[in-house]
Amino acid sequence: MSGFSAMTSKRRILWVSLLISAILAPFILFSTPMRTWTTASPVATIMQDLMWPFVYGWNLTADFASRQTSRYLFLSGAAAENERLRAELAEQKARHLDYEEQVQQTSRLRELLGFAKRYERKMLVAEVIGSNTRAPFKSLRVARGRADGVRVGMPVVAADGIVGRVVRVGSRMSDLQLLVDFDFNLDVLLQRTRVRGVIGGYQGEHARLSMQKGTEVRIGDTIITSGIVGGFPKGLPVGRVMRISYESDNVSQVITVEPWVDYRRLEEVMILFETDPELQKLIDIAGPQWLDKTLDNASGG
Amino acid sequence: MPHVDQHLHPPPSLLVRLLPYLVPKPWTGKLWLDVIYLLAVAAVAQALLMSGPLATLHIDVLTPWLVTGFVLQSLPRATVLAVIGGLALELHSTAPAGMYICVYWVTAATIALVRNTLSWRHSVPWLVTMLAATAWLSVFEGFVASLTRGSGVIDLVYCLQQLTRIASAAGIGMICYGWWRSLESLEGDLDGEERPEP
Repeated sequence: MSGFSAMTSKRRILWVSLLISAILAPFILFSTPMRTWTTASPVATIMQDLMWPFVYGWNLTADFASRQTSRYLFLSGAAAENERLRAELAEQKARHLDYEEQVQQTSRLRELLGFAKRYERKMLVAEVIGSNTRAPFKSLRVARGRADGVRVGMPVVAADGIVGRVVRVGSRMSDLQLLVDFDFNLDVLLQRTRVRGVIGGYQGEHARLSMQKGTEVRIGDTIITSGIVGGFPKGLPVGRVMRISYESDNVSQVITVEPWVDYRRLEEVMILFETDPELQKLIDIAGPQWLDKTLDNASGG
Repeated sequence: MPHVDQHLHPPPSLLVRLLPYLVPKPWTGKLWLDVIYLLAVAAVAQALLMSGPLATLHIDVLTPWLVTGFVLQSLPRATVLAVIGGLALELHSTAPAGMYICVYWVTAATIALVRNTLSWRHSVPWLVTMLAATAWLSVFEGFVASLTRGSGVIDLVYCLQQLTRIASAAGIGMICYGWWRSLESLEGDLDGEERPEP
């Protein structure tokens, strides 16, 4: 290296230390628990805030272009679509009336049975402004952040069911960990049999639920949240049973679950202002870094 | 001495002065501008290529952008860009913290070590560097994914996607190389052929 000999000693030291650091970097990475960035790290927060103007600018431009295109180019199908939507609306109105009647009936029955009336849950609608749909590290980005009161760990749902959980928060945007992510775990119930289990991310677009072999499960069964841990209210739809296979140990069965939510088509999600109360209490007392430390210790890092 | 009328050549307008900065390139001579361009490329890549129908193809624009920067920048600057580029990818996914930083950092260091021995006036070293850098990224990502997510993630579809990624990164890199080269010289003083014999 001819350039290296011409360097000053200070510059040489900088070069050598950068080269040695680069060689050591993979070893350092593999010695860590290899967890994703969380908001507890100031580096992640600063980077999120730096990226925001670019993401926002791109989103505005793309949104404008998309609206103009659909307004002027696809007007030909508008009349037919209008007719179809009118018919759908009429059908939905009829269904809604029936649904409201059922809600009132359930509410009365709950009161009769002595259940506490469910309170109105505070939620925030967030626009999806980006997504990483590349396996195996999928995530979604929404245009709500710390300034809107969003915190790490808050549950995120859509009209069809559960989406995931807030994993990083910037001042104006947040990243979501999806239900299908390998690191995602949630306590759930089989709606028909009321058997509990823990669902986690699996390959591709699916989630996986492990249960004892004797548990009665059928293809098409609906999975709902149990409301016990994780901050998700009870009864939210998670997905449906798609495939049942048996482990080689002959003790457990693996249930492949197809989520109700199609992550590729999400445009808006709802962030529920609820966190796991027990976990939140500990975070409030010990600080946001506590969770990282605990997980590091648990994984032997 | 002949009198020269200064008014014959008025100072360039603001647009003319800004024009060099409006051509996006990974080396501008100013680190802050390189960082802004890098963040903009990352944002566009995330919005356009990492979601929607194009996400399946795994088209990569960030790696050729960074690799060009690594060849033409000093190692300290290349390291800064590697860290920012890696962070931009990591903060748009649930990848383990440090994975992409590690990949780009090693790439920057390797390029810094070998670049004085290659002749950058030819297109072959650029092509080989782009291919090798993206292949290294794919292999490392696959290895970490199989460690953290299980070996099941490495299926045929994943392998095909990685091949598309490598090909697209090299293709996009070479198209940009041709464009930048038409604007100005890329090789600078980085040419192994012209170095004197020891």
